[in-house]
Amino acid sequence: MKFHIRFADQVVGFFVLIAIVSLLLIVIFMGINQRWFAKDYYFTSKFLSGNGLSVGMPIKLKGFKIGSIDEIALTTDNTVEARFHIFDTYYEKVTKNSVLELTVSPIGIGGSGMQFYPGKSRELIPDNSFIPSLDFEEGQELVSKGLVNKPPADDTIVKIINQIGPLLDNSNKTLISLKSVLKTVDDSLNGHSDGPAGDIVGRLSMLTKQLNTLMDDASGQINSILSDTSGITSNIEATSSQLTDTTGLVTKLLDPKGSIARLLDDNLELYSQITDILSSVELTTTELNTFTRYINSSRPQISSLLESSREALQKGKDVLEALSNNPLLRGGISSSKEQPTTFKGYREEDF
Amino acid sequence: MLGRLGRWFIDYVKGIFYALGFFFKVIKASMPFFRGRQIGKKVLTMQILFTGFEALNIIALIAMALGAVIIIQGVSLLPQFGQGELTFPILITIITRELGPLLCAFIIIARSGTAIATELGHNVVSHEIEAYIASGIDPISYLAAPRFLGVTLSILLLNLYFNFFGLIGSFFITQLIEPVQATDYFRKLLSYLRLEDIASSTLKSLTFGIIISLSSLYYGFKVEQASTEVPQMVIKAVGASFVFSIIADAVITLIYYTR
Repeated sequence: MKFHIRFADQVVGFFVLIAIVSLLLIVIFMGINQRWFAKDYYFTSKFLSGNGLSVGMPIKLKGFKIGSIDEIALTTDNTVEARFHIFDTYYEKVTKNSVLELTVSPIGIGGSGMQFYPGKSRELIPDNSFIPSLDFEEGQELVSKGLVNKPPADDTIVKIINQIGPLLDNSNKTLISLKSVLKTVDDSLNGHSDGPAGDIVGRLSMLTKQLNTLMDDASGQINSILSDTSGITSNIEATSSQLTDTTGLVTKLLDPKGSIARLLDDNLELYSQITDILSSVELTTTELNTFTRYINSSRPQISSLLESSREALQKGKDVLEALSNNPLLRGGISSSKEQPTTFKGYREEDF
Repeated sequence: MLGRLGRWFIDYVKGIFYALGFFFKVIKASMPFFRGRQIGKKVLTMQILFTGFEALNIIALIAMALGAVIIIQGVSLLPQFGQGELTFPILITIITRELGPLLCAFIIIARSGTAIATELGHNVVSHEIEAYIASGIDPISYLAAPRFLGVTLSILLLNLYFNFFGLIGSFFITQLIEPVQATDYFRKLLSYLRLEDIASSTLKSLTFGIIISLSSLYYGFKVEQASTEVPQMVIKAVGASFVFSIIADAVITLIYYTR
């Protein structure tokens, strides 16, 4: 027979006993740990909101749990009344002018809790008394008067939140200024401003209008030029296409069977004729040159002859005039100033 | 058609009343055990031995493994969110309030519920029940009542052990993987553990014990003639035990959280 079946009664008894003893031990240790038999001191306080408050919430002093919330209720004046107890071991901390502060983390996790700040007085607050919270003026006044032993906030998030407030204020102010500046800029851009910027914008607007008019005028002319250019371009294009055309003018000119080719292909007959013509032209030029030299050498005689002719004509004129002015005939010959010759012969010149 | 439906309904209602009568008779037959009139004391002892003591090793193993997993996960993961303190409420919620009683019930259903239904079924088939009656022994008092008390007490005790191993034994397992300071661990554990947790856990295991034992006994005695009925009734006993245990768990949890 197996051991545990042979001693079934003892095994079961041991099994039951250990379970009961373990349970009792756990309950006893729970009682000691949770201070079931210790005397606690009860107090009440008021808060503006029940957010973050809960039954069983620990009350802490410098990170140590000194009590907890027992009951919370909404009062007739819409404030939240909390009843809490402080452990007897920490009762000596509950001095006159003590306050409570409910800190709620804005991100929902961590950082929330009920802080207890003891008063600087040595006088203890009696059981079932009211301890003000910092939600109300009463508690804030105690802190402002320096009657509360309240250390500076050591919570990082609280510090950050405290810094965020002024930052947000500054940001708000900056945004208001920015809005004003934007309005001014907007007015200036609309030309409603009296300042130099508005003036510039107004002038710019006028210039733009004038430019638009000019552009309209120029547009017609440019269109005309463009149409001409288009015609020229099409002509050039046609010529170019003819030049590039394999059956075009150049090809025809260069065609070995073309008329030009045939004209040129005459066994140098045309060339010989051109050469002859050029020789005749050269001979004529030579003769003309000779003639010119002769004329040039005969120029004084010719000049003299022309001068004599001129004088003869002048005398003839005078005679004719004298005849016309003859008193017998008319009034005789009128006096006139002798005009010297513009050209003198080489023999008349002084040496 | 209508007649068949009516007959089925009448039979169903009769069955319910029969079951209620049976449960009442079993509970009534169990009362003398508390007054010292112990006809089936040895049966009760053996039932606690088989159902409670012999299941202790598997219960201890599951509880320690589960507790260790929760502590390791909690200690390594939750502090990253600044919620390291939540390790203990989670541990207590899972081990003590929710999973502990239910896992104990499942193990007892699998080990003892099936065994009781099978044994009683075979007793009926082999006419042993008739023999007890012929000998002047009430089978309810001698067979059913000790088993009912034995299973119910065993679940209660096993649940205590589950908590013991889950909350304390798992600490030693955790020490091998991720050491946690013992004084800090037990101080926090005891500060978060409430009497309501223990009461909820005890109430659950007591309810599960009653459900499992009565279902197993009822379906065991429901076998009539053939041995082929035995496995069918065992399956029904297991199914009923699971279903009613889970429903009871939900109801008790609901009461706990809405109180």
